[in-house]
Parts: sequence; C-alpha cells; structure tokens
Amino acid sequence: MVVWLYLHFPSLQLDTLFKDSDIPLAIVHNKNHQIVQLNTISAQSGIQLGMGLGTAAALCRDLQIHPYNESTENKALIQIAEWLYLTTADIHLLKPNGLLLKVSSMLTLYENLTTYWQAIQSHLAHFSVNYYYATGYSPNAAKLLAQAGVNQITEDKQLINRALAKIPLTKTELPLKTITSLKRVGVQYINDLLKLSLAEIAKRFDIELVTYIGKLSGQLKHPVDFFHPAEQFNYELELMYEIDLVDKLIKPLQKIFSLLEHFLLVRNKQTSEVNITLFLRDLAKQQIKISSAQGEYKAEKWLELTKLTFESITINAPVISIRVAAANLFAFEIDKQDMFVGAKGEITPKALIAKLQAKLGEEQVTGIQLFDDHRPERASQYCRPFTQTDITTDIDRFRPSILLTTPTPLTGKLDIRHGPERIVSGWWDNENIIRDYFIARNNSGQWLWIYRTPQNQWFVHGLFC
Amino acid sequence: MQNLIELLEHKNLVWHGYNHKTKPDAISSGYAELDEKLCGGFAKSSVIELISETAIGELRLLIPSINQTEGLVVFIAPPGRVNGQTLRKNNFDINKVIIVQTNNTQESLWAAEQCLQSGCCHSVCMWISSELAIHQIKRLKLACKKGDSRQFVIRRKKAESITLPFDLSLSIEPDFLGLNIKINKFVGGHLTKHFNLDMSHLWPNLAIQTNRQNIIQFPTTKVS
Repeated sequence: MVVWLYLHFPSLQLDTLFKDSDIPLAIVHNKNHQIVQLNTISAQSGIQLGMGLGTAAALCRDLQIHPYNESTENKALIQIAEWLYLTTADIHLLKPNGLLLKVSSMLTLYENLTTYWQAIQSHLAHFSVNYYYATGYSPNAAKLLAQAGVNQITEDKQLINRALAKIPLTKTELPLKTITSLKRVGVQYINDLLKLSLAEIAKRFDIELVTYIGKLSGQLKHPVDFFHPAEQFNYELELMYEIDLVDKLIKPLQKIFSLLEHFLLVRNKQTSEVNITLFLRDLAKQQIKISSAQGEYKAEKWLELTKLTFESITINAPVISIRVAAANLFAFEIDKQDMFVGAKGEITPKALIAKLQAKLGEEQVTGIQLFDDHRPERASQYCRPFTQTDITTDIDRFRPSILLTTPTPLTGKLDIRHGPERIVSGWWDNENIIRDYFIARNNSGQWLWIYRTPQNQWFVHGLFC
Repeated sequence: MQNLIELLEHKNLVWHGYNHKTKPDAISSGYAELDEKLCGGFAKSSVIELISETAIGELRLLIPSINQTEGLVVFIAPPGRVNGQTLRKNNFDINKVIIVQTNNTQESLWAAEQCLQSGCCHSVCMWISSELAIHQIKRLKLACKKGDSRQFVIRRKKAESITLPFDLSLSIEPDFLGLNIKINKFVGGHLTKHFNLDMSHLWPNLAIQTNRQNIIQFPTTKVS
C-alpha cells in the first residue's frame, strides 16, 4: 500500500509575514472575528485560538491584528511546494494550508522513511514555518492525523490505526448532518466507524459516507493530481508593517535574495535580470529592474546592485508588499581567467558595467558602435557596452575626437586650415544634410571642426581634443 | 650595501639628482620628448592631472598611451560625444571603450573609483570642472594601486588653493606644432620649465608649420 505524508501548516499566513518577532500578533477571521492564528508571544498573554477579537484585545493591549487572507496562504503554500519539489516528486496541494506528499515512490531514493523525513525536515527549515505532520496509508488518514497534530512518522499500520481510532468524527470532513446522525447511534470516534461493516453502513446511510470510509481506510482509490512547479523564481513577501524608507526595504529583500540564491544554486543557473515589484498603499505598484549582464546568483551581489539602484529611486507611498521575479535564467558559466596573470581585480568587465549601470542608470553607461554612414553623427553612435562592431572598413577620413551633441552656431574669428570636405547624404531617410566641413583653429589655439550650410550659416560640430 | 641601494632604487625610494633614470613602472607616452622629461613615460598606476583648455590637444596627448592596451578604456563625463571613428583610426579596440555620463562630480568620482579598482580597466579619463579635495585624489590613488590602472583627470584650471596629491600634474597650452607643456608636480622627478612638444608627426593636419623667430635662415650666397 502507498504511504502518504501530510503536512499541515496551522499558521501559514502568520509565519510567512515579514515581521519583528517580539510583537504579539494574531490573524483574525473576517467573518466571525475569531482568532485563527497567533504567535507565541500573544499565546503567552493568554490568547487562544477561537477567541473573539474583543476578548483577545482585552487580554493584550499591544496585540497586532491582521485580517485572514486565503489567497496569501495559497501563494505561500505554492512557494513551499516549489521549494519541497527539490526533495520530493509527488506533491498534491490542499489549499489553503496543506501539502500531501506521496512517500512510497521516493523511498527508492531515500532508502527508508527516516532519511526521507530528515531530508524534508531540513529542507523545510529554510522557511521557518510551523507545521504538523503525519503519515497514513491513505490521503485522508494522513490528513486527519496531521490536522489533529499527531506528528508521527511511521510505516507501522497498527500505530497509525491506533492514532486514527482516537480522532472524533467532528474533526472529519463529513457533513454535520451525517455526524449528528452517527452520534445518535453511538458512533463518535473514527474507531467506532471503522468497526462497522461497510455493507451495514451502506444500508443505513448515504453513499458519501461509504466512499469516505473507503477512502480513509485505503480500500477505495483516492485520485489526486500532482503539482508541477514553474521554472521561474517568483516570490512575494507581505510586509507586517508599511515601509516608506527605501533603505528599510533592503532587509526584506535580503531574505528573498537568499531564497533566490538557493533556487538558482540547486538548478545550476544564473539570472541576468531581477524584477522587483513594490506594491504601494493607495497607489499603483512600482517596478524596478535590476540587471547584471554577466549573470549572477549570489544574494550579496544582487543586494549590492539593488542598493545602488535604490540610491536613485524614490517611493511615492508606503510599501505594503514586495515581489521579486527572476527572468532570463541561464546555465552557470565560469569566467575563464589567465592562470599566470591571475585575477587582478575583484570583478569582470561585465560585472563592472552592471554596477555602474545600477547606480547611474542604464543609458548613462555605454559603449561605441560604428556604422557605415557618411553623416558624422550617424557613423559613431553610443550603444550598450560590448556590442560587437562588425564594421571592418578602414576609416580614412580625419575626424575630431569629440563631437558636440548639437552643433552650436559659430562665434568668433577663426583661421581655416583645411577643407572643405563636402558631405551630402541622407536624402533617403529625411535626415538629409548638405554641409561643407572645415578644420579651423581659433586665436586661443583650439582646433574646431566647423561646417557651413548652403544658407551660409556656420556651426561648430566637433572638437579636436 | 650595493644590494641595498639597488633595492631602494628598485622601490623608487632613491632619487638621483645627476641623471634621468627610467622609472621601472613607466610606460612610454608615445612622444619621445615627453618620455625623456617624465623618466620613461606615464607611470602605470598613477593619478595624473592635466590642466588644459578644451580642444587644444589634451586628448591627443594621451591617445598613444591609452590605445596600446588590453584592458578597458573609460571616458567619464567627456565634453561631448566621443567619436568612435577617431578612436578606430587611432587603433583603439572599440569594444573596449566605455563612456560614462554623469550628472555631477560625485558620480564621476564614484564611477572612476569603481573602474580603477575593478582590475579590468587600463585607463580612465575623467573630465572635471569643480573643485577637488585631497581625500578624493587619495581615494583614486588607492583605487589605482588596487586595480593596477591609471587615472587621467582633465580640467580647465586648478580650482583650489591647496596642492592636491597627484602623482603628476601637467599644464598644457597650445603651440603651433603641438603643445607647450609645463610640469607642475612630478613625484620623484625633475620639475622643468616650459618645453614644446612636437605632435606634428602624429597629427599633421593639426600643426602649423611656421618659421620660428629664433631661427635665422642660412643666407644664400651667390657664387659668381
């Protein structure tokens, strides 16, 4: 028979919230205003699960309240499933707070249940979430045991059955009507239910109860669909408090980046781009792109680039949640270095460019690309660094080293030394120029590249620096 | 004793007043005359100041020493758009040229420091117009040492009253054939008066051949 392991996360929303650990916290259900999740500090002040909001607030005046949000839990659950997928194959999501793992198929890899469980446990430790666990011979049995907080890992059928026997029917998923009618005939625990023969039950109760018992005992098949993780890193972190200072965002980002690092490391991948989305209160979300041409996986490197980028960014409203997505994953490449010369500095050219671009902006750091064009401003253009120039023709014309971005009208007297060189070009793309270029020197000894238009206007276009 | 002096000489700690020795870490500037004055050329990892008007040949002075390299060449805050055609004509590897535009001096200095200490840049040319402080130059010097790279600071005039700890400071003025150079400061070397540097062999288009006033034409005689 197949062994199943169920992980039940009783306080998922609370655990995945980014928070300080020394504040009493509680999650309250929207509808009935009951406490559904609480941390240890609030438990110490006497607050219990199921308590009303008023009672809880009376017991602890510093209590921080968050409304329960199922979609947050679902997202967190998927993140945990993606994480666990690295150690175990078959995962079934039971939203909002349960994971069902198929153990039997993994035992060939992990030899026995104990090693398997150790692997799962150490892997889950990264998330620092509370969970209950239990094994069972059917999904429902494992689930019931885990939700009851049995915390037992065993293949022993008798042990499992003994634990299962003690669980009251009220904990099951059976409809209340069935439970009440079972109670009337003296059936209160699972044990009592399993003692009855299926044929007798089928006569007296509806078919749903029969199916439930069949699924619980493993006699009937319980089909589940398994989870397939996305090959992309996408993590969303909800903040316990609103952050309006950019510097303060670094700490939660550090947490995400360390997860990213592990995500990339186990896949032997790097990423060249990280998109940070800041969800703002009352305003539209803000997107920040951080790129590194070389590709990087280390959390500290991404954090460094992020810090540089943040220096030039202002946020218009407090941040309530952060999402980090990594695009462009590619295989890890080793940067080859000369064995004898050795590594001189710390970083490679591409990493240097990434650093400069992160602080100064992407358009501020450029390389040069040459084009086959007679128009001087077209022949040499700025481009992304390290764009290969494939022009092989030799440049035979004498040109200034610095071109002015916009030609300025010529003032002052000059001594024309060379020229003219007439450039008539670009009639085909509506940027036609007709210019006579001269090399001239003025009285203060500056060498200028000037031109005359057909209208006899004179402009300075370049400097022979 | 002999060994000790050799060692000190090698470490550039002994200064000889009697002859110009080539400094061990100097790399030729491409101009023989300048090399002689600078004991072999521009030092490999050093911060060099160039006080110059724009467009008189300040970059042309540096081109032979920055194009003979394997690392990146970075231009920070140039006074216009750097023209790739000129660089290509002067044997630059265009793919190793990086242009950094900045909004203020702080950004320029930061970018320069990052480039210098990265170890992948050979030379950094930075145009600066505002005042500089001693600690800023010292930081650049440390970065140069760390990354084995060279920094040129090009500016119009000396903006501060104090002497900055540059390794070498040159003032240049235009001249008919090239430049008129004055060495303001040269660590471990001679200070010279003005001297003329002929750049016409590299830039024939930008030189004016004139009859010098201190040269008297040899009189032609008629032989009857």
